[in-house]
Amino acid sequence: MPPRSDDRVSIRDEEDLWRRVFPDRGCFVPTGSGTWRPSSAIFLDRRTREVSVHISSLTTVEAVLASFPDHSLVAIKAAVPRALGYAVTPDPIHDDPVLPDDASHALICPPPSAGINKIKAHAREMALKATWVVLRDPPY
Amino acid sequence: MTASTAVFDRSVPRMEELATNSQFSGVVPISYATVALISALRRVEELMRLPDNWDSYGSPHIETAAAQRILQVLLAAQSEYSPAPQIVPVSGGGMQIEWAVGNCELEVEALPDGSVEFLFVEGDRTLEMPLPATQIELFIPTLMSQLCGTEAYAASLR
Repeated sequence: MPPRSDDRVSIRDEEDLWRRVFPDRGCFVPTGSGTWRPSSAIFLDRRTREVSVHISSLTTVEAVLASFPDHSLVAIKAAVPRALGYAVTPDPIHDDPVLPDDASHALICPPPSAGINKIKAHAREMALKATWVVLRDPPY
Repeated sequence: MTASTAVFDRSVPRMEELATNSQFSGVVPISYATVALISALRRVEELMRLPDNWDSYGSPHIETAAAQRILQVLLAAQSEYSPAPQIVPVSGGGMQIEWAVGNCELEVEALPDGSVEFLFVEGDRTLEMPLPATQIELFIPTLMSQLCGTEAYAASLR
């Protein structure tokens, strides 16, 4: 698969990228101060290495969680993965056999030069910089 | 005597749990298993039941090869001093174990094909590497001793 190009015109650095968090206790890491952060696993996808997100300005919380009422939702700025060398590119979904149509869908894509020796550290860094948009209370 | 110390006392009958889930290729006998380990094994079995598209982004279910490798890591990490692991499904069909002690964290991920990678974090320093399956029994205890404090962990293995 050819490398995806970064699209800084369609997706500005200040754009919030949303990602749903599966309602499983392992996905929520206690921080020790009574709060939670998402596990780094939230920002990993070992099938394609590309992480699905939603461009917040093109959708709503209600739309993203409409079919997943138990999921939580996190946000990271597009600048965060870009600072790690990742491309952020729109990837609207139409007529997918599994996923619903979604004009806000985008991908966080590692650079082709990224070896396997940084993927986990990068996912952790994204998780540390993520903020909750919707945190089911209590998560678990 | 606490439940966790009891498992190291040979006067106490052995705790054995057989993993009979047909998705695994064999029986995994566990002698002297800690309560935390048994809990972790049940957690792995629970995650193995996740269906396709569990993450809502089209992920396949957790692959058996990943689960088997996670079991190998859990067995290698077993110690009275090991903190309780957090076990997380990973999109794409893998699984990850996370431990945290103070400002140290250890993440060990089994990929869908059964390969393993780990991330060790101590403050601002990180070490990320693949871990060959043949090295798991050697390196996981070493990483755990780094995480938990060498003396406490070594004492638990005596």
